[in-house]
Amino acid sequence: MAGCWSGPPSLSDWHAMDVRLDAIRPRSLLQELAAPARTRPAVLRIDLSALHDIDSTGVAALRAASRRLSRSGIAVELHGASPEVARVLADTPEPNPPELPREPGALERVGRATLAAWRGLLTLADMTLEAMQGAVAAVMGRRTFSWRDVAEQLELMGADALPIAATMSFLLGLVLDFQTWVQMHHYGTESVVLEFVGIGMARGFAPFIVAILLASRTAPAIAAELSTMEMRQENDVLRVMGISPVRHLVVPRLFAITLVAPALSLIATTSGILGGLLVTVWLDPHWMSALETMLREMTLSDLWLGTVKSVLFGWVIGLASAFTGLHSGYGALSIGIAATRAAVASIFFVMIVDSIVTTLWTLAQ
Amino acid sequence: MTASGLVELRDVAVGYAESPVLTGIDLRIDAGEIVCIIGASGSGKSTLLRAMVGLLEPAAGAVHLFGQDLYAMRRRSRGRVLSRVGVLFQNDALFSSMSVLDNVMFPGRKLTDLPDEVIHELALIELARLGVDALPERMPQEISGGQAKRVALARANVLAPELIFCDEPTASLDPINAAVLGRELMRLRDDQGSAVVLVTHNMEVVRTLSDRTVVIAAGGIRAAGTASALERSEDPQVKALFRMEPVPRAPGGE
Repeated sequence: MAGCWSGPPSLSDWHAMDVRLDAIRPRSLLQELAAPARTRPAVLRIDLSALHDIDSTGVAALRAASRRLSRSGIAVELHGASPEVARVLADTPEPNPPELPREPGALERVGRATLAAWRGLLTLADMTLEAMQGAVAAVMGRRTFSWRDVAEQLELMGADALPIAATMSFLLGLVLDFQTWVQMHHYGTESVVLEFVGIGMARGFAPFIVAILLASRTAPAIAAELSTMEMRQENDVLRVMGISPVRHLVVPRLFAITLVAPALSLIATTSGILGGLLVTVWLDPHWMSALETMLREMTLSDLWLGTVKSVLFGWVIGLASAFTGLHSGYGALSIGIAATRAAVASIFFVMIVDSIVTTLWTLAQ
Repeated sequence: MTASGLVELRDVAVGYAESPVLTGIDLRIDAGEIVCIIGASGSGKSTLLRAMVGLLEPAAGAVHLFGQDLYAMRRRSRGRVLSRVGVLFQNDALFSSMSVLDNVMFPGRKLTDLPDEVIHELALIELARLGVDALPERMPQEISGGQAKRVALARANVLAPELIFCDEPTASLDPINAAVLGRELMRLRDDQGSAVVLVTHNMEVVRTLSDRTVVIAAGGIRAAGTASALERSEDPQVKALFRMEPVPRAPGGE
């Protein structure tokens, strides 16, 4: 019988209580032993003589019960076991798990989280710097850079997203024009609605809707792909060949998104204006004059602002998704987590960049 | 044999987070030898291998490859040193977006300025050597585990590196595939003069391939020597490994 289950031998018999078990019912053993334990004996002697056999579930139930009782100060003694039962009890290994680490306090948790965030920021800065160096080296004609990878990414990010971007912005232009037209009609200023739609699409709505599309479609795809490669050790293969995964995988994606984001933004601007124009033609008999007003008031700087924004959005989305993909861990959940984080982080940083650029641009006017 | 050894570990401590798995590791590997690293599961063999190939910076000590401190050098210099190394990972780690042939051509395309036709030929030769030249256009998902392992070895060896690391090369392989891989590793040593470092559980591999075996246990190097000498060792940890018995817990061990 396992010696560690017995109570201290100095305890006298009048402190002891006997319990006979004719079967071990793992689900109810603790309740069965609760009644005798209520009298608080120093030793609970469990008679196993009626037990014909026992399996590991039975041993686990007995051990769990005796551990619980010993925590209440009641020692458990097993006796009367048949040779077969005694053999199983003796042969079942006694686990010796390491002590669980101490649960950190609130202050320690905050400290650790701050340190982790700081390290993450440094890693992101390092990755950004390396990506910039890689981009310069690629432009300078470094032989090992593959422009074919950029072309593949252009197709994935741009060509495949084009119909969605065009449709979304067309509908946005249509809705914007409709809703604004209804309000402006009360004041007789509906002739400026198309101008509002055009300038709004060029300066902010089109780059933003393209950014949302890239953040929800491209960013999770990049993060999931890089995370899968990380988990399958494909990136380790690159590292031990002396090839940086940032230069080999991230830089082509950044090149592609730098081209795709403004291109899609310009197409989305055009498509949004067409959506607005459709509503204007339908509602306004003087739609031609509204169109002329829009074309007269819209300037290249409106398109320039939208283009600059979309390039910045593209970089933010590319870097955020690459970072989450390359630092997502190795577990089965990591790919999903990386994809989700990439989308959320991309949208969050796009909003921040949008606010900063719009504020700076407005102040500069 | 070089003056400083192809690989030299000096008082290395390595692990994850803040807990070292291995400490005080001193190890030297020379050209033209096959060194097997053995130990119980979780003893730190693969962790040691990751430190030797630049994937896990040691908490203390230095890892020298080809006489240069791997973790003290700049990123680009480290790349140059690592380009002389081939690694076969336990799970093959073939690039899933590339065909078998592209996988094997990849190191040549990235690390040399050879014409693509030459790299293509080189890759086909390496695939033929390992008996997988019939599948160049297949994707890694379309080939068996044994074939994938052979393709991964072809990729690791396509540029004839001076040093090859293999993590469990025969794990999950049938005896025939394991023998093919074993023969290839011996050829790399004998014909190419490469040093081969094998992390393995397969005692048959240790007995037939290794020139030297290093036993990892209790957070460090427990014993080192030829397989036949270790087989006669009285150390209970070493005995248990060679006789395939449960490894006794060593004080301070894993």
